[in-house]
Amino acid sequence: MALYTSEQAAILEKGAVRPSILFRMVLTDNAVVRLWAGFGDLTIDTDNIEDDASNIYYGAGELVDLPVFEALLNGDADRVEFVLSGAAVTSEVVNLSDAESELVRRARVNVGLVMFDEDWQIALPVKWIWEGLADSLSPASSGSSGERLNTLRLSVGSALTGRRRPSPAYYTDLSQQARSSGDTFCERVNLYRQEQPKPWPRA
Amino acid sequence: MPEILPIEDFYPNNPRWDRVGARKSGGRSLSGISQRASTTGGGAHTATLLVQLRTANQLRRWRSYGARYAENGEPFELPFLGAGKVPLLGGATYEGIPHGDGSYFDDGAGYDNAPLIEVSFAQAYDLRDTEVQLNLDSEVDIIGGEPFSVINSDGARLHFIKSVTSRTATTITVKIDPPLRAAVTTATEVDFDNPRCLMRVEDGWYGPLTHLKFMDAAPIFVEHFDPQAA
Repeated sequence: MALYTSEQAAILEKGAVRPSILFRMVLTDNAVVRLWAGFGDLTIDTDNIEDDASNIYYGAGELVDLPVFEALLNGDADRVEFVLSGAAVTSEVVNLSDAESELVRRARVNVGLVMFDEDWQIALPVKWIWEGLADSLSPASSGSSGERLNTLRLSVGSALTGRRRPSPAYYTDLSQQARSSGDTFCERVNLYRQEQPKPWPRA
Repeated sequence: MPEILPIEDFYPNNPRWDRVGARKSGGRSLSGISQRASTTGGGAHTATLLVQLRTANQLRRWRSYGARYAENGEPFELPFLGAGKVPLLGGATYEGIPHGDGSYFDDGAGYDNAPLIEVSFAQAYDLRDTEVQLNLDSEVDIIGGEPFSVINSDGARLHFIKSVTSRTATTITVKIDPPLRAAVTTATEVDFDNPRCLMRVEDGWYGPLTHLKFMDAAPIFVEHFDPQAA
């Protein structure tokens, strides 16, 4: 499936299309944090991600840094970190910065791409390019000359990856203990590898 | 509503209004030029200027404003300064505000404080619209580049006329820049007389006191956006 229809591709080919980033996070109490990388307020059309017609994305410098998103490769879970400003205390920040907050754990995070035309009108439907599940939020504060830098680091895992224990797949004592605790069947497995020194005579 | 900083009282000079915002570059290409795209939806206003405080009263007032705006971080409205601040006026006269029954004083004057250029939105517009129709007297000539303020509920926002699309005797359709900072209703006030913008102090409010008497300061202002609650 093409990312854009041919009409939309024609708009892109015209040039002068300017992209910006949307950040949307649904907390576990269904409150939604909406931020974008520009200035002022922004409203977008509803789609399969944004279901609220009266949505407002806030742009006041809250979004400090976005990570590089990677495709899932060889089953390696992609964990990324968003950096939010911790300077202005809003109700969102208060909610989020409670380290024990259950609001953040498994909260859905979407990152979208919005395209503006030469008059700063939204030229194309928003493309939601990444989805993740938030894990934890850690406030950080560091000093520099003149002012302290307060940030919130939001750790998010790609929604394509799960978090499971590895299955006990090997005939090693470790795996065997995980399967049935106390069983000694695989106890001597590590003696069967090559170049294992065998003391003789037995002490 | 935030107050207007009476910046003219402090002998301002060299005002520089600019727009900040992140730009993306594609890197320097083989041909030598690089592609650029702005990504911030019109940018935020910044202003720098030089104030020259020459009297003790100016210093006192400057420190008083500094306590509120520079130390306390309150937003305020900063007037736009410089030539080309108001549109070309072809015969517009200042009428003032009449009495309650619509009559004026004997000499024909009204109360002071009425706008010279009375402008309002001809219809309601959404957040971030950039083409708007304004009710405007035919005596006022808009050619593009004029600064004006839209008076929103949280304060005045500075915009510029980008280009004129069409003109009738009482209305004008213009493209504006940056996009509207909030949705407006019909008859929302537009201020061409005293364009100004909701700003806060970024830095540089105080300068050295030369001979213990004179202060030259170069404050830096940036447009204020409320951190919003969900």
